[in-house]
Amino acid sequence: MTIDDLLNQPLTSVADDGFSAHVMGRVRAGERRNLFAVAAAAVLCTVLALLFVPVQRIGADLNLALIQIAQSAAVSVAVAAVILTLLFEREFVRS
Amino acid sequence: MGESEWLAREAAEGSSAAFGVLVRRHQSQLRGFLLRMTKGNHALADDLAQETFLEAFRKIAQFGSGSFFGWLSAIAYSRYLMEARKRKLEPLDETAEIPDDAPEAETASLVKLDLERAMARLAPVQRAALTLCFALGLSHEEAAAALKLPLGTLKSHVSRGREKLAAMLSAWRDKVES
Repeated sequence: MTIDDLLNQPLTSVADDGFSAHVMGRVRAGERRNLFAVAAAAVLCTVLALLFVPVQRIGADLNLALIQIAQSAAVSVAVAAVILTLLFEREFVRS
Repeated sequence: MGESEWLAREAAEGSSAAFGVLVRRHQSQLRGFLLRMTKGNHALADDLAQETFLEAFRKIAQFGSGSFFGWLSAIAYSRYLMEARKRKLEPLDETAEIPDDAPEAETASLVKLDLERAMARLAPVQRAALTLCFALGLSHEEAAAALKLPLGTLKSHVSRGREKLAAMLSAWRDKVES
């Protein structure tokens, strides 16, 4: 047997014996940890943002804007057109 | 593209099942390689193999072209070097003195055992180069990339390691026969 024959012999096979399952268990645990970290960071950022954003003032401004929209004649005409179209479609097109 | 490389692409797109197939497919080769690098230390070889797979999973998006096992070997070898430096397992320098631990006459006839013992006396870089190029069938280019060596340096490690092995095995055989 030459030195090359000896070197070309494949390495002794190593039985799995749960090795792969153990590695994949650690991979999945790592993925869960990452997911938790991302979720925790999102919650923390939201809480921090809420502490500094004037929520009540934004809510009041939104209310005002909604009332102004509702009082607008153009918006009323558009909403009426949409509703009439839907009613027409339900009455005549589907039947 | 081979099946392992395709699975690596799938894993890079988020399929941990594809990575699971890669682990099952390459665990024996990788553990065998690390077992040889650690001179038969099963516990250390398995620890390093686990850490190698976990690092591979974290970095799977960085896997480019070429052989998946070559890429995995690069991670494994770099982990082995870090551990060898940390634990002072053996001198990593190619020119370092290696103690003479020739086998006993009664076991010297076991050719495979001879090879492992002779391999253990080589410098780590030569042991890795010979194992990757011969037993694991990587091309010289793939092995050079795995060991982060220029191609010429890799070839010279292969050639010098092969010569040293041949000399050691021949000397041991002479010792047994005399």
